[in-house]
Amino acid sequence: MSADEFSRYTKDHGVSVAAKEVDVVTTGTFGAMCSSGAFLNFGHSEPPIKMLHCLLNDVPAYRGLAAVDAYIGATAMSERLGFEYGGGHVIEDLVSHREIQLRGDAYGTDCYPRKSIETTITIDDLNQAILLNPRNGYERYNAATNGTDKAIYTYMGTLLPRYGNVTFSGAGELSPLYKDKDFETIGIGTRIFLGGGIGYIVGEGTQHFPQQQFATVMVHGDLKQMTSKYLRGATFYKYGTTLYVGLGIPIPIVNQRVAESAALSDDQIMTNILDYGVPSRTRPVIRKVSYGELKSGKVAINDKDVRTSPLSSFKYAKEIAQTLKDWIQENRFSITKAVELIPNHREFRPLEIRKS
Amino acid sequence: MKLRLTYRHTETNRPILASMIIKWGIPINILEAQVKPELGTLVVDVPVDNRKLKEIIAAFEAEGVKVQEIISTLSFDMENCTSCGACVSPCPTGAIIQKQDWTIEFDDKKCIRCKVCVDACPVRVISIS
Repeated sequence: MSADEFSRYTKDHGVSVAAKEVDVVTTGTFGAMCSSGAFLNFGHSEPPIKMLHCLLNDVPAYRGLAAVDAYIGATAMSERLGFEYGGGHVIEDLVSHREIQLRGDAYGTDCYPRKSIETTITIDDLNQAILLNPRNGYERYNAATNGTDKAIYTYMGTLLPRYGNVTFSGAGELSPLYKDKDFETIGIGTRIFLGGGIGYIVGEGTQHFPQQQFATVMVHGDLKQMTSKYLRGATFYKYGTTLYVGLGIPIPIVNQRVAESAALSDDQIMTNILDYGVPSRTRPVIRKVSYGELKSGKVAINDKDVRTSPLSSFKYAKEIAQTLKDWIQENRFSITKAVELIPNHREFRPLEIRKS
Repeated sequence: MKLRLTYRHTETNRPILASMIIKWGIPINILEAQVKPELGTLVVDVPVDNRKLKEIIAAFEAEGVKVQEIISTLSFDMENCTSCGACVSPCPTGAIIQKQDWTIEFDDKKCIRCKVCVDACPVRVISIS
């Protein structure tokens, strides 16, 4: 069953019954995930080059690796188009088999004599194109509003002045990591739906903070079998570029606790509405709210109804959970046992600025 | 109904719109205004029925103002829309809503052409005509 179906089923039949009848619950989310990118191997030119800088459609790729390996990150931005085109768009264009301009330079060595290169590539020309996202699938996320007198433009979208609206992210009852919140099944090697294809969990993600339900995972998969429907380059106005990633994790119902976690509904999953008008790492909490309220389209702030809207697509999230369910039922996708589970506890440290 | 009014430079110093509001007693709402040396353009919302609208258009034309009816205000490329919702709550007039299945629905009548949604769309599928 998909997680939303399971949640409703447990309401009618009880968690114990549902846990016995259901083997696997599928989840899904499709949201902006800035900590995403892809490793690419271009193959060697004649004569060969060890690129110092590498631009893909004018977007700089990280080149502190071997001669023709590069990492294109979702938030890297075009030197020509700026906010309108970035690494996320390069990844979408790669997956769409579109031609991409490759430009590079080098200082030249005895083994890599070439000093510049300019050509076009498609994903089919590459030896490897491996999506590797250091932080995806936040278990839940803060909702955002703006208490100042000016509209602000954030990674949480456009926030109108004087608590004019609330935006939120995370798929609530479909959210993969909330459905096994104590991490009894999810771990290294868990096979997942990633970008329309099959991927794997590498381990905990960066900023993994499970005690506060801000768990994350690092994921990877072969970009060559993914689709542009579930990997979309995106721009947040006056913020920058990113990548919308489709992610779905199957949760095998191995015991009652996992069943209880998988059964959690939008009304039971809580988050905080923060004032993004305060430019600090600790933003004031305006109020606590459930995903059920957020999804209803309005919440009350200071006795006034404020309109809410999501940033991640629930339509796609549902499609992903459904697709994963179909794959499992058609024996196209088998559940793996994790080699090691995701940790349940992590320190969450700020960066202190030391005076030298 | 929304109209685009184009004034020639010879007409830009006369209060034609204000006169129309007084004459017809209709609260015409200015959505956009641009005054350049050679011409001025206004986009206005005229809250009347079609028959009355024709009379008002004729009255503007009699004053030397070129009138175009704006049929569609915004266009959504639904093929490429992900139904994420990033355009919905930033819309100050509630012209964009999400249906039960989370797909986007746009109400032309409520749109004031502020373009907030055009910028808010992460995948750039909204354009203004």
